[in-house]
Amino acid sequence: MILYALILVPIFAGILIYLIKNRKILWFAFFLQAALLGLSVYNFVIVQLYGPYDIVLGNFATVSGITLRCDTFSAALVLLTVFIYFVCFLFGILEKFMNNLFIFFSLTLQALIIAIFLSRDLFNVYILTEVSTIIVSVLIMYKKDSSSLYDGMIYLITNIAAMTFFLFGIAFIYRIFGTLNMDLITSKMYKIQDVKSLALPFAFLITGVGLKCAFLPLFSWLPKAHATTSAPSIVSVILSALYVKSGIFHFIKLREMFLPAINLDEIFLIIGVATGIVGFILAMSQKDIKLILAYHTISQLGLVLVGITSGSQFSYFGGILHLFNHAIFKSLLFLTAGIITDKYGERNIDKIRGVFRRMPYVSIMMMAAMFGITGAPLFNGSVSKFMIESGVHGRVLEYEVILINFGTIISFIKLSSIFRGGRGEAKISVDIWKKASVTIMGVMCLAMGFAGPLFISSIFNYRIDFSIVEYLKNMIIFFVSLGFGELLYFKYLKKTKFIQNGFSMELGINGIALSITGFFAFLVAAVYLLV
Amino acid sequence: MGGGVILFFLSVNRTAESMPPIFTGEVAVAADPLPQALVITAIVVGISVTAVALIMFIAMYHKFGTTNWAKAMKHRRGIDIR
Repeated sequence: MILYALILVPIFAGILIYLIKNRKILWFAFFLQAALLGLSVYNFVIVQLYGPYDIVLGNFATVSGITLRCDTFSAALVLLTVFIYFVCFLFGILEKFMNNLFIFFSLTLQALIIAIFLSRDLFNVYILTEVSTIIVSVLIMYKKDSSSLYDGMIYLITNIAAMTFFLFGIAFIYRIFGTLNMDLITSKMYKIQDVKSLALPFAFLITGVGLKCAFLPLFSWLPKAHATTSAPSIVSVILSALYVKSGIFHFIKLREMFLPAINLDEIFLIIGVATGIVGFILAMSQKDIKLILAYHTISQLGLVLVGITSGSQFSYFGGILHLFNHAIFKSLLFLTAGIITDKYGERNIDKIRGVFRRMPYVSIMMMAAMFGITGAPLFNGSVSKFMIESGVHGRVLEYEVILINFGTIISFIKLSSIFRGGRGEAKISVDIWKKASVTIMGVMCLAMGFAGPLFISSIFNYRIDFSIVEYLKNMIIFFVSLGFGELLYFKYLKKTKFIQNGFSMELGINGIALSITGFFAFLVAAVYLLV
Repeated sequence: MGGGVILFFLSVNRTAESMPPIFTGEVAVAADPLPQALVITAIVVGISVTAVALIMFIAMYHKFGTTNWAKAMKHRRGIDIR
């Protein structure tokens, strides 16, 4: 019942709010989020105590029915979704754009994201993702600027194409296994004699999900969609912190599903490293504050992919912890960036100056998030990056992870130039709700630094031996790369054309279609050649 | 491409002697009803997505004054911060 409530209550409340055109209804939406937060905490505790449980819609047999399964991982992701929505609603409670239409869309999207995390039926995942794609593109072009219309359009078209691949994959899977339930398919997977017959469904499904996760050739839509000029920063938060996670979540599930038959971890490892590196290189060259953050989403997703597919269990859980941490610090970054761009009316980081003097409180919180994303000691990013790194200790991969982190540090040194200057300018006041929401996220950034390992071990029942000496070594690596990055940026990189003029690797619709097809063909070939 | 998927779905698990899965009284090998249920859902979703995409396309045409994607892209680039 709790699962139905978590999915259906936001949708019905959204319809109700849309019908009652009253400004005070915003408070109702806010209290609804608080109630949902309580419910999802309760759900998380129940799953912790009594173990995972299934619900089959309409009491059909599991083979043909629609199954919702709540295990600790899904419960934690649901909790994360509701928590970030709660903070977003707190953030925007006085904003003008929070009218009943906007609330209707965002509540429906919330319900869909929760349902995606809980669903174990492939076709159901397809439907939920498709509907949420429509809502996301409406949210992207919410203010109907000409730039956001283009961004929303390209988002919609590429994602529809990718989901058609996914649907094709579902048809193949149904033909082979006779069911769409992911758990049942996993249990039957080892019986497959001819692994090559799985090549097509595998490639179809992974192409669909890979575009959602923005893997290397397929990320072109992401920065535009996440950083679109006109959308409120809440939309960026929801997309970048939550919606991408639904793609990664299903990538993890599909990988597990195919693992007995097809193991392409090495390929995904290379894709992950490349995604991480390309992400930060492109982020470095941007000038738009939101675009820098959006490209960093790509880079961090690459890091998560490295953690998941590296083959060591320690890095696997590090990757999953990084998923949660990324949601927290990225939403904090987007929220603070939203405050700054609103108050300055400017997105170019060369023109924003003196944020620290004018908005000290917001700046401190933004710095907490920056410390999180760059993996500064004691903050949340450091723990998950440390786990990913030490799992691959002694392999070349360790240096590649350090390299990705180094690139992250450099581009945030670039971003931190907005704090400088501003002597003698008047302070800008920020309302209390925004401060409160930003504070909650800032505290979470620090708290997850301490509680992260505990969190992961409670979700997966996996004991983490945390060696302090290794962690201290990691701290030294961080400070060395910080110093080196500062030196490199100010002495050399700052003057290069690459940083000065900006550089973008943006594909048109034809290029995106080509890259999707190319990725698909590459996966089919990889299965035929390597498995 | 959507049409291809739908046809493929219908051909899944179909044998030559299977009947439509409607109760007719005689015992026969019924076609698997699940893909058909899936297909009808896929068609509905496909129609609505196409409708939304067309509406967005019209809005974009009004803003940009062109249906040429390359021109729209150039227009969009002009808005970017440089």
